[in-house]
Amino acid sequence: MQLPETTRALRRQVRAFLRDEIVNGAFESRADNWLGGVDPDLSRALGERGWLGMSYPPEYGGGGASALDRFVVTEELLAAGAPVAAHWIAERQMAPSILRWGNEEQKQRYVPGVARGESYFAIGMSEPDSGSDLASVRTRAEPVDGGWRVNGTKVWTSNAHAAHYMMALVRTADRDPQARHAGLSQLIIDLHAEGVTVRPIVSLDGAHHFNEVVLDDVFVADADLLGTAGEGWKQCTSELALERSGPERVLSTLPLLSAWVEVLRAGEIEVDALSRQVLGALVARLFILRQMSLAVAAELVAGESPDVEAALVKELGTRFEGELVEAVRRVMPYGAALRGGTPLSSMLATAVLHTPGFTLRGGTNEVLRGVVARGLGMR
Amino acid sequence: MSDNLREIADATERILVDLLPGDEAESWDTHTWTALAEAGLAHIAVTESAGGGGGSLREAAEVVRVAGAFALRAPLAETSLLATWLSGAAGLAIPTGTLSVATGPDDIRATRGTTGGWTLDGTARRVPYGRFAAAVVLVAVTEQGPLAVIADPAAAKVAEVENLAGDSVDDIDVSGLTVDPDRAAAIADDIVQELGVRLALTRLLLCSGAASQVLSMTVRYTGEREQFGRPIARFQAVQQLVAELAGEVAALQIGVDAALLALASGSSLAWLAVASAKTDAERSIARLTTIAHQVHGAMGATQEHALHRFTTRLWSWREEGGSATRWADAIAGRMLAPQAASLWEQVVGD
Repeated sequence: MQLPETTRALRRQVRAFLRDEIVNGAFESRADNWLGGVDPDLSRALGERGWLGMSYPPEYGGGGASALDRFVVTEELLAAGAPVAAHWIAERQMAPSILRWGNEEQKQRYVPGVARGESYFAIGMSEPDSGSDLASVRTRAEPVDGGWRVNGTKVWTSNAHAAHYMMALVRTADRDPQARHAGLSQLIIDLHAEGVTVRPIVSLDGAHHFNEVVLDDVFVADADLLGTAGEGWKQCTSELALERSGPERVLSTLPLLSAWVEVLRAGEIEVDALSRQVLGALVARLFILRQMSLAVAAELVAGESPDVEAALVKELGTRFEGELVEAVRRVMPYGAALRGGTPLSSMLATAVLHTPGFTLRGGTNEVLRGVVARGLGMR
Repeated sequence: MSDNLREIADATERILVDLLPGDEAESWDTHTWTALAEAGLAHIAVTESAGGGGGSLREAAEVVRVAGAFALRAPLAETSLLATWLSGAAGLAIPTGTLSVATGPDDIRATRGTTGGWTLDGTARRVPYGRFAAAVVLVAVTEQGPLAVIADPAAAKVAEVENLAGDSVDDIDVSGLTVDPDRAAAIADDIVQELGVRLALTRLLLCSGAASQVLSMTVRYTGEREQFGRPIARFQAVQQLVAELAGEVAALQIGVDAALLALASGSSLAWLAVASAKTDAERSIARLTTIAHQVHGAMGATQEHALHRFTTRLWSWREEGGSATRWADAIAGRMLAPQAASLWEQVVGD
């Protein structure tokens, strides 16, 4: 698929900017840095250049550009291993949700800050007893004068400690076993409001991305109900194609592949036949999965909702992210180093230790295969 | 797919639905092949002035894809996208009738005779339906560089070879064969390279058609076959397998589509697109055929059930036009070239 020349020119601009940033020491390229790398300076710099919220309408601070422009910017950020976690979820998913389901006042209030790279959101979906079975969420919002009183606990809330708001899926009516998806609503919760406690959940590599967010009698004004009460399930699942088909489901570990190739090209590691096989096979799969992700992006641009295709991209892409790590690991002459070591062995360590999450976050691969089977008419 | 491409695919499908499967005991399907040729689908991509259909690469490609989906036993891809193209690119008069090319590595040398013609030495390997072809278009090596040659298999020694599906893929020993000057022409190295790319593309198109058939047969079977009192489609274990099968079919088809579009549009990514698709196809085919057979149980491993018509051809076609090992090594060579752009720049193409 050939992208328009303006889109390709944009790609070159972003690439040059990121190259300069790395040369100037502004950031270090890392694998999976869209989850792990919080750098508000970089997020604001991207916002200033108009590279966030590119496809939002101009009246809300967006660029009014094609989603394909956003796609290439996203790809370049991932390929460079840039620390973009601060704005990532807000820009990808939450501002688009507000633009789709929110009222005029909400769009004016929340979206421009996201496009400037200043306002960050966390996703408040999972709970201690609600993972793949999201409809079982128990966080409860009771109607009170002027709004809602919210109680419950959200977990695996990526970067809630760096975010300003959380888009929470909460129960606003009693569970109905006959209609499991009814009675859910989306609330925009200020993470600095009274009654909100954000506690770190430290990952196996010692890093802090995940949090537990405890909501204890938190007041949320009516003005922060997104869309319609009771329609939360439909609203939040409508954004799944956005969440699932993006290039971050294929390219999370690309910085490791690129770094390994640069080391091979520099002659620091001898190139043998096995390395050539590994490299050729990885590039082949990368090329195809990237085309797949691009095809879904093009369908989204055309106004379709390719849920099954998006599930396939994520299922294949996230497995590839892990396979890449394992394949490079097996042909490297030295192993991973959590501390010390060469830059490549350090990048390998991050990639290995992040791998278990690739096929879990944003919908497990087993759930995704279920979506595909449903698309095939098997269930 | 545009309306025009859809129409051509539908027209091909109508002919194949009516006539296939022919008599499987025959070595090839002459009856269906004649019908396709009479409909102009064999010489579809030859210019009108040269007596062909004047169709595009993409139109010819859709016909080949449908042929794969019906496991056609005839040298359609070899005639429509390879032999006619190579003879045309070499500036030779394009032969009519049933044509073929070598799909395996060859080592044919040509030396100039006293009358301006050429004498050949060597063997063309894995020539689909070579024993039935009116002409085989080959690349020979001369001291001056590559030479396109239109050879007559009837005048050569044909060793009959069958692939895993029992299809003819003959070895043709052309040693001692003499070729008139108007049946041979020097070609540039990039024509030889493009032939390799096109050969890989035709195998991919055939695989794309066959793989879509394997997926639909497998999904259908899970709805029909009952065990433990319900269709096996109801079991999560089976759903998970078939979803993975669908993923590999999708990856194969995306790869083939990207390769076809890049080649048809003259994109700078064309080589990498074909190389990637050809490399990755072996992996996808291994997984998708394994799953399809597992889901079909013992029934799928019989002559009686149609599944084998597609899986055995997938296993054969993936080996033609260069193995994944060879293509992967070539990709690595480009990625590691000292002055080349970065890996990511090469993958993206701009």
